Amino acid sequence: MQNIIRRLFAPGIWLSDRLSFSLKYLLIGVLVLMALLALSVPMFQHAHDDSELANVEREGLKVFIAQADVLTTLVMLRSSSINDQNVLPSDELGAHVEQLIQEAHQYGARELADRLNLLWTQVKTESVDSDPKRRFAIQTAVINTLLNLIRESASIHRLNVDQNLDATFDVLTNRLPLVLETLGKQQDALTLNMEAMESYALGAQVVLTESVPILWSGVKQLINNTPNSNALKNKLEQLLTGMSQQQDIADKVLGEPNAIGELRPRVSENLELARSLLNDSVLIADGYLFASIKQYYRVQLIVAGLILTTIFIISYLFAGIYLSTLRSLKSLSEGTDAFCRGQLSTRIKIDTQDELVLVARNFNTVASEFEQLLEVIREQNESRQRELEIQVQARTAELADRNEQLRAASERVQEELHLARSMQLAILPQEFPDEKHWAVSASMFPARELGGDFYDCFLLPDGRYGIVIADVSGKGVAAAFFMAVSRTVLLDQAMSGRQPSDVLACSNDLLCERNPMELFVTASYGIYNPHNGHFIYASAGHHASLLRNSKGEVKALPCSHDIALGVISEMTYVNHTTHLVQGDTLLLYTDGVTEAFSESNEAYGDARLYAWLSSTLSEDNPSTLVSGLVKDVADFVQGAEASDDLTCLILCCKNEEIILDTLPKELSNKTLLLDYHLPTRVDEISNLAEAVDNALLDRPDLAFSANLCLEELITNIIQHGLKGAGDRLIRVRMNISEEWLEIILKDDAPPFDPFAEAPEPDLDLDVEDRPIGGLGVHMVKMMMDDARAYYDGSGNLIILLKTLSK
Amino acid sequence: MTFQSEIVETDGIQLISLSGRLDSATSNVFESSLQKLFENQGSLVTMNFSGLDYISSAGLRVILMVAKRAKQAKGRLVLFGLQPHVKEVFEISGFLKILEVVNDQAEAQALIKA
Repeated sequence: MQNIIRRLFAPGIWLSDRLSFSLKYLLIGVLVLMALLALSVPMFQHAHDDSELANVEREGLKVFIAQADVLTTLVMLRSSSINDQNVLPSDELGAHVEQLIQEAHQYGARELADRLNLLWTQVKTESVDSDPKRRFAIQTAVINTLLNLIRESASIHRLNVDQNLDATFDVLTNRLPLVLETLGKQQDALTLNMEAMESYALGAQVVLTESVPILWSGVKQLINNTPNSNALKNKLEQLLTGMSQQQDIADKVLGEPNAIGELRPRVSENLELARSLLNDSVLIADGYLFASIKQYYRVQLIVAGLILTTIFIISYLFAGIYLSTLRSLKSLSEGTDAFCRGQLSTRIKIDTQDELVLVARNFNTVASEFEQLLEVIREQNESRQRELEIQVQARTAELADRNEQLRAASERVQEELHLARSMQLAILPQEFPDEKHWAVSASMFPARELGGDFYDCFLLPDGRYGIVIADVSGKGVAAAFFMAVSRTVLLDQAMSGRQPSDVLACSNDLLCERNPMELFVTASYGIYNPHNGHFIYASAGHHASLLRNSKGEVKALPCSHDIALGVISEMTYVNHTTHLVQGDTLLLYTDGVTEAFSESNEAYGDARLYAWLSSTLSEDNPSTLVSGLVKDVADFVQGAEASDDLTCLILCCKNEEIILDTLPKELSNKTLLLDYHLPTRVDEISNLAEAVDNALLDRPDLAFSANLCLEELITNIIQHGLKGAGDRLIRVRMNISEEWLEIILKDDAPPFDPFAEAPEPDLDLDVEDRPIGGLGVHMVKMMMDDARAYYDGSGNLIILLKTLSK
Repeated sequence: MTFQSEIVETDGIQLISLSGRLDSATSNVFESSLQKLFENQGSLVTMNFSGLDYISSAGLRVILMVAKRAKQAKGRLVLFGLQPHVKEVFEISGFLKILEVVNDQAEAQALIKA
């Protein structure tokens, strides 16, 4: 049903949807106004037409009055001119007639006007002495033409179609003038007193008789329409009575012709009554028309007033409805706005009885519900907030407690780190060899509390010195632990006196066995023989050491790129050797030196290190050099935080004496036992042995040891030093003092130190694992009290000492 | 005082007698004379060192090779009669720990048969 209604009113709804309230009201107002105007226009038109008609009628009546006036005068003139031939139409009458003719021209009755004008001219030009009958005829023609004009004028002025007074006007403009003229004519005819005229007068009686009912009904209509017209009624009755009497006289004349004399006074009297009735009727009719016109004007005013009043009332009501609705809508709008702004206590109050009250009521309900809901939420929030605050307080207290614990723990850790640092620094030697011809110094600066670098310089059982520098990957506690382990392992292996490559290989295997953090350590290990300046070294992933000679030339020592310790087990390492001579400075360092970064993130780098080392002096002692290098790096980084541990170890060969001068002191009171030049062939050794046996006949045990050592060293020289060359000579001398047997070998081979380069055999291995060979040098060391090798520029010198005591 | 050696087999035990100097010059000859030793699994060999006056690392090398072959062949090698300075060489080299060395032939026979 609703759908049907909606579909039915769809265009109206569509229009309404697109208009504001003010426009809607304006539209309806305009439509109502237009409807009212559309309705009122015909009413106005009608009233206007009616009043116009009444005006026309009144105009006609006015014309008719003038015409009736002229008619009466003409009738009287005709009567007068019969009695007196000298009576002429007055100028006043002439003017009236001409005015009638002029008016008739104006309202359109031209033909009759022209005819009247023509006849009237004849009347005026008729000579005084003309025939009275002729004059009567002309004047009667004028009167008849005037009667016709009166009828025409009444028709033009619509007097005969008046709905209320049609009969009246018919009497006034038609019947009554006819009666008037007839009576006048009867009177004139009787006056003329001629036979023919008498019969004419009696004949005219028919016109009067047939006019009676018409006059009656016409005047009656006027009387009925106008109050207070009793006088007119009386006059009508008088006329009708007079006419009835005239009829009676006329009837009497038929019997006795002398009675005609009675007729004329009756006719004159009736003529007077008819004239009087005409005048009165015209006045009353005019009054009636005037009243009608006034009535029409009043109707128009009333209609206009009603329309205006209706428009005013409708406008007033519309304005009221509009303002009321607008006020309600404004209240709604302001209320919702205020609510949306957060004034939740807002309620909309509308005093009207329309549907907007429902909207307001719904809004108020929603607002109340919402406010209650918010209140509930607020209460929940507050309780939640309180709960949270309590929890936060509890947590804060807990946190403070934890912080305190943490601080204590942190202090403990700091303390322990400090202890660890002290211990780590204590592990590293602070005292270094400072011999007459050489000296060592080193230093380590950890980047954090604990470092992963270490260095060491230690005396080996055979009188040589082990020198190590290492850098554990990573920093901090783990690196420190691994550093301690690595150092222990490395020193333990080094103490066996074996070659650096073996020490590194064994250390690597041991470190690989247990390395849960998968750390590794780069290391450079070397053995320095202070007696001959021999330096044998190997590197496990550590960069090359730098050597500066007395001329200030700096070079990196040749270095194999072997793998760092702790990465993969069963790796092998390669030994390298070099000779340190007076004025040489050997620098071992970790990358904390070259990778020290300045604030502008620039590395110290190799170039600066080379330049610094080159600028040092041969006279400097190593501790000065170490602090000098540390200062140079510190100046470069300008206080930037260290990224890595900084460690360096410096060995200086002092300038003072040539190492070769440090040969063992000449044995005092020694006796040369043997001076033998041995061809470098193995089968020659037995001859030497025989000579030694002969030289030491009284000490076969010494001879045995001497022969054994000589054989081992000589085979070594032939195999390794001379690479099997059999055309050389080795000079063997043997001296004896009171306490010592001295054996000296001299070859012309390139520098070769069998004691430094020969690996130490592992005597604890089982038969299957024992390597074939590698025992010779070991046996020499074991059998002699002192065994040393030197290179003097022309060849190797080996000096063995054996005590004579058994 | 050149080096000499001879091999005698008695009761399934080979006895090798050494004399003279076993050095870098003579060890090659000695080494080649021992080629057939321990060709059979479980061979028993005794070495008489009583005549050996001198041994160097070259001689020790040959002895170590023989010992290795004895181990491989699951045989047995017993040394006896070492002179004091020769024994010292064995001592220094750590060979006394890895080889079976006894005083005389009787001990050697008893040990090898046990």
